[in-house]
Amino acid sequence: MNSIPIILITGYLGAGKTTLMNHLLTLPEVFEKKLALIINEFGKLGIDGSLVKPGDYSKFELNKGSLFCICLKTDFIKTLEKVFNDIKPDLVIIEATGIAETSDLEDLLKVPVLEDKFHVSANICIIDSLNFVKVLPYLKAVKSQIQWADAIIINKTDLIPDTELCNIQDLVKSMNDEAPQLPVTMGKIPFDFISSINHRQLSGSLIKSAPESVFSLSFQTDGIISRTAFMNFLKQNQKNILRLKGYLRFDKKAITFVEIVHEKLFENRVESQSNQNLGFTVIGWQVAKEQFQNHVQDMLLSPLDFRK
Amino acid sequence: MTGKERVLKAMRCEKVDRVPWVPFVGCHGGSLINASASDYLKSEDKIIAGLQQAIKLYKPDGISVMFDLQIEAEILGCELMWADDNPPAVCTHPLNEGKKIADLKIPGPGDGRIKAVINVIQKIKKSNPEVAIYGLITGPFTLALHLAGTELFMKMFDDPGFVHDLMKFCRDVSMAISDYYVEAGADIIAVVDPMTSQIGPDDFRRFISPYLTTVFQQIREGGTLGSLFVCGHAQQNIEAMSECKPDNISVDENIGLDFVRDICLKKKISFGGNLQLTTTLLLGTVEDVQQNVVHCLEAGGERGFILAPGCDLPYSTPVENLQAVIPIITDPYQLEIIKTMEMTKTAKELLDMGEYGKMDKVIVDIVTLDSESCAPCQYMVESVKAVAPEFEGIVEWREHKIKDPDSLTFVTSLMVRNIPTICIDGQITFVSKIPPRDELIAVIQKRINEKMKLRIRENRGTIYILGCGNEDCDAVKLNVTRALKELGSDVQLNYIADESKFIDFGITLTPAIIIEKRTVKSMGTVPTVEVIKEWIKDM
Repeated sequence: MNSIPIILITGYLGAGKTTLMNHLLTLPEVFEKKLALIINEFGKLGIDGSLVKPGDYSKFELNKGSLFCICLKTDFIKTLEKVFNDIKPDLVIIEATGIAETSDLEDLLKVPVLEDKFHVSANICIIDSLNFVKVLPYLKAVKSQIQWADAIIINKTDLIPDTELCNIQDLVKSMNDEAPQLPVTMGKIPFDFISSINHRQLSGSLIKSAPESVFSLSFQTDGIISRTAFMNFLKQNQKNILRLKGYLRFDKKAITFVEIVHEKLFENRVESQSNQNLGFTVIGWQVAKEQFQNHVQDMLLSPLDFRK
Repeated sequence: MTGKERVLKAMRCEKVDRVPWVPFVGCHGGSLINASASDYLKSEDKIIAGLQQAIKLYKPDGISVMFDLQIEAEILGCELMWADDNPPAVCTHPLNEGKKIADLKIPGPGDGRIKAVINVIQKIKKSNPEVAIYGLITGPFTLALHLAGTELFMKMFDDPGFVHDLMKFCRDVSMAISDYYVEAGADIIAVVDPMTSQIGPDDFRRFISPYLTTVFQQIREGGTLGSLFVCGHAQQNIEAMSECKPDNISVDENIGLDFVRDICLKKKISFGGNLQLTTTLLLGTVEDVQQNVVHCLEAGGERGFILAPGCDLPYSTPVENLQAVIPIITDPYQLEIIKTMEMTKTAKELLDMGEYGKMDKVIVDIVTLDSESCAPCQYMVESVKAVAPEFEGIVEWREHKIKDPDSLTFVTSLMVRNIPTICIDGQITFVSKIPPRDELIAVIQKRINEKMKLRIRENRGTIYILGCGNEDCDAVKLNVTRALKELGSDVQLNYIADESKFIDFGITLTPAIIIEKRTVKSMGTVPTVEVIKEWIKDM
């Protein structure tokens, strides 16, 4: 029997993996095949059963919420063995958890009981353009899933301005310049995009070698800081700030909530709370982290504004 | 030195007589007593029965009494999904469903399954005072993810204050549970925080270090030892983890043991791991396990190292795979054998042993490490040496010391995987067992009989009498028949009277006798032309 192709869908929780899978199920090229779906996510909405005729596909759920690699591995191997022995489908679609390391999944296909039975035909990573930038610096898997992908779907592009989409595309390209990118809404992608994907056999850990394309930094401030200095800092570093959020005290009377989203600054004076931690977190890019850190330190040490 | 002393000393980086062995038995205990993972993890009695069985089978120096990172989460309102052959999984996150951090209360010693764990610690300690008891608690970050779901990663930017508040609560839970287990008698508290592998060192130091440091400080001040378990790709955080001042760091196969060793020993922190869980312990063979153990022992060294699986043992890990660990750590000679056997992989050019043992004599090959320095090898050689003369030259024996490169190739070609081994005419016959004299004689005799049978089968013949039916011809026929009878021979007799066939035998005058001897030269193989030519020339 020939090796069964696998379409692997990766992406952070909420990126639209299930929407993408449901969409795939409506495409005749998928719909007409004998399918096995492997779902591996917790607290999620199910597959839309109305999209496929009953009995046309077999669904397997991995031990839901298996946060820990070992349970995941054991379950994954057992499930694929079962799929091979009991179902013998034409195509397997796997929806991985948001924290799965793609390289681990590919390695598992090489264990003796699975070897030569399955192969990854396409590894698609889907990203949520609304939240991607916020989670990228924190969760390692977000980066590695992009690095290992054969194609990257940028979802929910209707919810962001074009400038932000350009930023995301640049960011993704800096991590993986070989995978084609496809901006979509509602996970709608044509099948010929999927069938045109070439799976790349990669090995080893890509994380170590990847440049620090995006970073997060947090700063604590105890006292009052100069608003002018803060605004100058924002202006000078505008192109290096993807997101910023925090609480700052520009004067004695109140604290100010500041946030930068899609290059727009929001400011809002709020009731002074004595226990509010002052400071901000920034997600930066296209600049060395240390250099950026120095800019912030300089700004925090600037003399206060002249006040009456 | 008892197992417990060995573990405690290794934890403190003190000298030990050998590397301690700590199998992390969680739901695997259920498989040892034919209980499903869900029945097992919910029942105090079953856990005790499973652990007793594990201690009996695996002879550990230390053991985890429970390996379920959902105990705290369950009490705090996470719904669990139970499985037959896995620990349960958290499927709901209360802080995502309207609950506030302030609504959560630190679990008490009588809550949920904590009570059972406390009882298990007490009872297992009492019946096994020589085994070090590990009490496992869910690490604060993993618990935080159970409570808040993976949204927590986004909150690191959106609401870092929330993340810190939640981590404070989870730290307090870790400290409370650790207190309960210490009081019950746990010798070591393992803080298991696998989810920390998902983030980088900066965020580890920002969101996790302050809380883990406090947890380990409390464990230390209470006079107990603390170990930090991680799994997954956590290499980037080992340095940051060591700054939290645990007594020990335990990792899985995703991180090189030598890497962890170098960071830890510098700071006088011991370390443990990292037998491969899935590919080797669960799916591998005994030999795979043995080699994995040797690798770990080589990387781990003798000081400050505890041999353990990378994480919770899979439910259906074969018992023999875990038992395979025991001889290697307790018997230095076994360790040396496995190390040497691994070299057989490097033997490049193998010999074709297909025809081995077809000579007249019976060849007994004894594969040893070195019969002069290894006692079992010596006894095996002596057993053969004593028996061989009885066969008066029919049996020839040879010793092959695998440390010698020529022998290594030979032994590898014979597919010998254990030492010492006796092969008779190339067939592996006695593995790691000194054969009793009678048994050895019987086996060799059987082989001699086989060879005899083979020879008889190989040398069949036919006698043809060609005649035209006159008196002389009848006389010849009579004489041949009588000769065969007197010899008791089973040679086939063919009488050919058809004159047209005489010419095929090159016969012009009758009666004639032709003897044809058949020799089987090959069976089930395709001999080369060169070989066939040699046979033809011999005819």
